[in-house]
Amino acid sequence: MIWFEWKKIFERRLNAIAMVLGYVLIGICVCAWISDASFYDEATQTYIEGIDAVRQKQHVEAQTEILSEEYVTWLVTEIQSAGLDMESDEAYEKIIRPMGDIFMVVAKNYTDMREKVIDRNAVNEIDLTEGAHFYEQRMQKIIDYLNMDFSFGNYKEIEKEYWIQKAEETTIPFRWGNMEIMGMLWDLAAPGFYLVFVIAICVSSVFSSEHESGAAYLLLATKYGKNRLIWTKIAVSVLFAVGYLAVGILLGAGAIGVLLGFDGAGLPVQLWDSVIPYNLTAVQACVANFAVLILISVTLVLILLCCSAGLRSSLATLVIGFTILIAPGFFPMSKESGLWNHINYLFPIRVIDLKTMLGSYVSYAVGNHVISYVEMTVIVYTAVSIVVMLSIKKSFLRA
Amino acid sequence: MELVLDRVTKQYKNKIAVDRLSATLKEGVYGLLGANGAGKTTLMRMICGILGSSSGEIKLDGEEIGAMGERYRDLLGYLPQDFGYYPNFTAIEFMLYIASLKGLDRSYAKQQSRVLLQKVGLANEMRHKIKTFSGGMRQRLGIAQALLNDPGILVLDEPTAGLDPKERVRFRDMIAELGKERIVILSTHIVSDVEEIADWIYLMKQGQFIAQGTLEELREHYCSVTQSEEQKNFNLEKLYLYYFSEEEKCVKKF
Repeated sequence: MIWFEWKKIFERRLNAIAMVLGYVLIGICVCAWISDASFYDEATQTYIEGIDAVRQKQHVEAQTEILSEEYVTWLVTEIQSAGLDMESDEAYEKIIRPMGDIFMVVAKNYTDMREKVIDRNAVNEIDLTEGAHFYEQRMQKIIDYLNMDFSFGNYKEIEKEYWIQKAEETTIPFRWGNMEIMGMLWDLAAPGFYLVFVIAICVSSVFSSEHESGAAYLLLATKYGKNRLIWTKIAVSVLFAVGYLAVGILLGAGAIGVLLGFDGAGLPVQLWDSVIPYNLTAVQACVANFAVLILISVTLVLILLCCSAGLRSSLATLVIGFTILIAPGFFPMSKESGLWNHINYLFPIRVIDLKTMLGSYVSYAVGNHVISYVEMTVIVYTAVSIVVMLSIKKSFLRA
Repeated sequence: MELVLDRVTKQYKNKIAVDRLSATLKEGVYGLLGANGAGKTTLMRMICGILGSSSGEIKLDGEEIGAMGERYRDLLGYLPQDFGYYPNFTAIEFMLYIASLKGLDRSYAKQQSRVLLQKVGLANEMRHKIKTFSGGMRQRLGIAQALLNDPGILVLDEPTAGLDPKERVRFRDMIAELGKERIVILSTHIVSDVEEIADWIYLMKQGQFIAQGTLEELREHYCSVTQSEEQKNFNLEKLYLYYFSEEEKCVKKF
């Protein structure tokens, strides 16, 4: 039975085309990222592009192994001694470009958390009398943010304690290294999200095609038609979604690994944003991101199966699927309602932006418990999956 | 084996599709005759347990079929009307798929599929994709799948639709043979099909049985209601036309 249900998904021409296009997209993205990589070689004063650029960048930007207070203090002293406006072209050529990513990591640490753009001149304003106090500044910045007044509601004391404790548990000082390759690996989640659309196309017809063709009546009159068949369809659809996504990600990650290696895998996620309170390495964060992507796709598959069984129309099911994926991107964040914002954060298109969300300090206070954003995402998507899964059978049997 | 319909009713909002039908079915061929929309398909779906009844019960050997669940469906062979086949499946794949849904052992399913495809004249096409089949070939495949589990109750909704005259004759014989040791319920609006093979005929209109009996009993009934003495010239079509062309007479029950 499993084999035949599998065959039904794969032998539909639209599905086959969509699946191939999804993987082609992954290939295009990986190629584009690598070919877009550029590095300015100070020695020859030329830009290097592609694979060589990534390798050179890793080599040159390995200025230090540990982002220690002493190193940051020395670095900031060097920057301040130049006496340049960091937004100027001269500063870019003399300081920012040669230093590479480390300048941005340091500057971001001294930029207010509410700012969307890194304040490059914040580095010039650091008081170095007793050193740069890089990690102290990091904690202070987090505390300041948690104590701010927000129009949509402030953090509860329990949430503040939770986040401060979590931020303090982060391993410091940070190991330093180039995160270019890990950045590419992380960004695979974006084309991975497009694969979720492909999955939606493929599973939208799983039940509805039986209704549309009239075969549902035949199936429901068979011994296993009202039970085992339904669970088989669900299992095959979920396995298909997980498998298709996993293969796509492995293909992309494999291509990156073969061409560039996996340098930077053990570096902390705080090199993306120093305030991230999760004690994760880059590769762990990437795996977590892919796991969330798979969770989203499994939940979506179950929702679509329920629609497919109940609505009996592949097109209507597909429209619902695409709406769930796309529409929340247009939902604005509220200036008044914290509740709405907390709901809004949980839509797939926002969950997929986990890199931003890891450092966004979104939490859900339930009584005396604080649930982090990542935990809430897992809870909500798992709960929705279970509820919807139990409704599929009922919908299909309502023939 | 005794299948009992006890005042079975199916109501959709304001429309009653099946109206308080009662019948007792034992081994034999039962023909349901009626115009489109008479409620034949709804009744068949109810007998197959696909649709629940709004009121009334269907029992097999005293046990309600809903409560029997898989045990009941294990005894069932069903050919729905105009059902979709999987165009990319070959005939043998389709048979094996249905066999897996019927819980048949794989090796037995393979053997049985070959035998049945041979029986319906599709042995040479068993490896061909269904999308290459004509309407008649698909219908034959549908009949073959219904027989896969050697059902005790065989429900055939318009089984001869799409078949050419030669095939129809062949299938009438096959159905008559099958009816000797099982309950065969077939619906059609082709009067001659029922006339030839049904041991008991139900005429259905607006969700009700407006007449029922053996062909002989219906003949007598026709003569009595029409005051006709032309028993020799009687055929079921005349009775059918009598009921289905004269609205005012349709309420008469036999």
